[in-house]
Amino acid sequence: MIRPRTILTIFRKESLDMLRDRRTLTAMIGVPMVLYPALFVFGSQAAMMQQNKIESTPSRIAVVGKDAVFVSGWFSEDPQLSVAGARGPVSAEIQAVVVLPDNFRNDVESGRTAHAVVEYDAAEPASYEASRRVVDAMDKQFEQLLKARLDGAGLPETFADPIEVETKNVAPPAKATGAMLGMMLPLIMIVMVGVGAFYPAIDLTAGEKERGTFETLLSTPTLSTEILAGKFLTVFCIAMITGLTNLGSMVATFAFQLSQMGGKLAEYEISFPLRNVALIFAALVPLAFLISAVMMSIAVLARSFREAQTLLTPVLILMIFPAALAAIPGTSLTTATQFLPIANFSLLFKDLMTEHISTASIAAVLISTTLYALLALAFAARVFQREEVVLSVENGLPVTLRRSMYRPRALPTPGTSVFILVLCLLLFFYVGTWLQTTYGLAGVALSQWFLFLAPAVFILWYVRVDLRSAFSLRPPTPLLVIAAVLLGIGWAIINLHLSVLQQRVFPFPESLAEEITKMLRLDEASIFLLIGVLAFSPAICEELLFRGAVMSGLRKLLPAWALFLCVGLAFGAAHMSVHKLGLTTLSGVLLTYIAWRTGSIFPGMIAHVLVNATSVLIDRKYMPASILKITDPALGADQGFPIWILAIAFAFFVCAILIIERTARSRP
Amino acid sequence: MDSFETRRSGPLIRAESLRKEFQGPGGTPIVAVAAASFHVEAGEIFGLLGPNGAGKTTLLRMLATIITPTSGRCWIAGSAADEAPHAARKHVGFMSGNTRLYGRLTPREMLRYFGRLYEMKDDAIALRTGEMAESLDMTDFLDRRCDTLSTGQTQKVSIARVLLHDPDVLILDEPTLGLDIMSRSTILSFIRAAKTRHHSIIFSTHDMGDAELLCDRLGIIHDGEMLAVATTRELLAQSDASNLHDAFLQLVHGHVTA
Repeated sequence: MIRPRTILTIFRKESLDMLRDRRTLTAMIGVPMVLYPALFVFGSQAAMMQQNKIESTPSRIAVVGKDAVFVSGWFSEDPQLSVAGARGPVSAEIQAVVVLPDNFRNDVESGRTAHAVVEYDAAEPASYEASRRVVDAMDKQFEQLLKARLDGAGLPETFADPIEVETKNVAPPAKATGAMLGMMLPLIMIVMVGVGAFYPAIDLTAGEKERGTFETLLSTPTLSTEILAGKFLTVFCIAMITGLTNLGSMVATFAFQLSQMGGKLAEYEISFPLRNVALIFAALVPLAFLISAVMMSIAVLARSFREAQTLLTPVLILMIFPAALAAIPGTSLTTATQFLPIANFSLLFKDLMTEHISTASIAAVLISTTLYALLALAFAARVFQREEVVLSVENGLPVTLRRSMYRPRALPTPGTSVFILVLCLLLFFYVGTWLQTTYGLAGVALSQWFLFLAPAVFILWYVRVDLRSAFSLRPPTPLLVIAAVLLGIGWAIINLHLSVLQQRVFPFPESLAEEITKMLRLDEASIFLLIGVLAFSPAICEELLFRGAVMSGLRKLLPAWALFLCVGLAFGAAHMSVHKLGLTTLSGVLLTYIAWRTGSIFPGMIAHVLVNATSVLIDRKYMPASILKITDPALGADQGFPIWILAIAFAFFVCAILIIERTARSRP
Repeated sequence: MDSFETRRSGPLIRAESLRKEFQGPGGTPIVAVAAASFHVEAGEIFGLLGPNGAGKTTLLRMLATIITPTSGRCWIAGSAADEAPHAARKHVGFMSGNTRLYGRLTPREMLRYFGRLYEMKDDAIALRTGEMAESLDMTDFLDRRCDTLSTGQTQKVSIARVLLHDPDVLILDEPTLGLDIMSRSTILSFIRAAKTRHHSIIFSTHDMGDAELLCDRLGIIHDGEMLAVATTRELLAQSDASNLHDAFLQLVHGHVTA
């Protein structure tokens, strides 16, 4: 029976503890109170002072060319411009140089277009200002010369302006300002809520483990659920307060800035009714709830403060992507985006700033975020009930980087696995993209072997992890090999069929497909090379990375379903395609299950080769086109495989799973 | 420390075939404690001796109901730990040598926190805190932050925390680990005093001197196996050794070579 009184006791103690901590106070109150005023007020004042200084300082320019004297007089009307005797180049003394061709005066006087070049240094504000003054002065001459030419020809002034186009912003000022704020504020708010939850989530879980006080707490007559609830409430409240102090400080700073602008205030008027403030607050509650629950459930997995930081930093960075969706012009809350965690809050915030949105959409955001939050909290509660997680206190990451200081171990720590994953994905994204665009198919192979496999092997070797157990290099039984082949063929067909179905609702752009074919020079490669690079190579390297280095470190911490999902998602994300994300994640989940259940990397590798090879053979039209009824002319839509092939594939798939389950149960 | 004094008698700790397995690499089970059976009477000090990794901490954590045994049962002051862990915990005071205090709280705040978790009333907590502050000489630093306290002062706060709810059973995991002479003497006095108040005390240690000096009976544990449960005199009689140190080594080596 959960006792609210005990939860309140833990909450009060944890809050008191955190409120006495300098780091928490700095993130919660210090940063928002100091940062925004410092950034906005002092930053803009410094910029204004600099601007004023530049505007009040006269510019010295030089005019180069035989018609220099003819032109110099044009600049005398502007008191801020003085023509120096020097001939350039642009320097601290001469801020801009006007270069005239030999026939400049002749062109001007004979009614032709005279060309002049104004040289300036864009990196120097004073030089930029000088060039602006020169162009202004020459524009005035342009007007006078044009008028004189038109008068001479007996033409009206409007002759040179056959069409006058004017753009007019019809958005009310409140909407324009709201749109600007709507793009910026949600991102800052979400990141700040994350930053607010970050430190308390670590301190109250991994920190308490490291201090050894968790054990003492567990020996008291309290339930683990009560401990979790008390700690969670603390993290949630601090995250909320951090979010609100940030919002408050931003609004106050912005209002102060506007008040400083005096007469221009009306132009930037913000209409932000109380209803919207209440709605944002209402959405902030489940959002802070979700972020706190996710951070706590991950932090408690860590064995030390340092390891928790390693695990949570990528989470904080990953949060930025959905949060930044609102900053992309044109995005708004849709049927699909209203269910995307974090992104839905960001878009709701943005839409509320600019327009009225339906109650159904608001409800969808609030309800879905609450559900995700409850799911994350349920996960945290499960983790909290696992004694080996709550009591493990061994340091995950060593303090030193010397290899001799690492203790030999069978499996990597979760921190090491996450580090390998993040490093490989970053390398693949930056270096891999360059390799593939430069070297085509060879670049694909190079990225697989040198950006996925090599770093993983090197890091595991360096931290003295037994490669055989980390990579699950256990030979499979002949029955498992048969199961892997059946599963590979079965899943290859089901997967292709699903991709054809997906094509109907979320089509892969044809231009992109053509570009990839061209970039990788697929048309020039032999089928053996294609199978080697696109089937065998990824099957080996990706399996060893994801189902070896990454899975082995996380398997002790996560329950099976969470492990499948996390490794599957990482595998999906590594394919770096929004269109392929769903299906590659599904394949990743399946391959993770195989490796986990069989205890060997090889069955997954075999299945992976078969799935990729089938895809290559069909894509390159080495398989009879009639098998996959692509683009039925009668329907104008893709059809996928005939039902009898699908039935066989499904039977293969089920047989394979049954064999794997049976073999796993009989394994000693 | 008399306001909460309770009359205690009979075996307050009883363990029957306690076993704990953990999941090792590759899913293979690791037996941390094989089958430990023993009891500790009221007013008895029971020492748990064993090398590093023998299973002492796991056994004590099972008794304190911090972790659940894989099989076997234990009773604390008559409450079965598996059926009524909540009731069992109310009778336990648990302390580990590795445990630190909440650095940002004062000893008074910390005692209030634990008192409330043990469902004590605020006025009872205040009364008990005052009594312990006096008897443990803590008055001077009762309102100072714990992270400013010396090792000896920290130990005193830990003892006060353990005794706050007047538990029948004291479970102490290597309480003298890494302590200087003064702090160590504070802990040893506390254990002796607890014995006179008829608490059942079980504590693990590496130190043969401490064990010989304090314990009424000893349990020798190695590789998760409880090799012997006997008084020091019985242990010496069973082996040919002249002191506890040699008797312990004989038992452990005999087990290794067997």
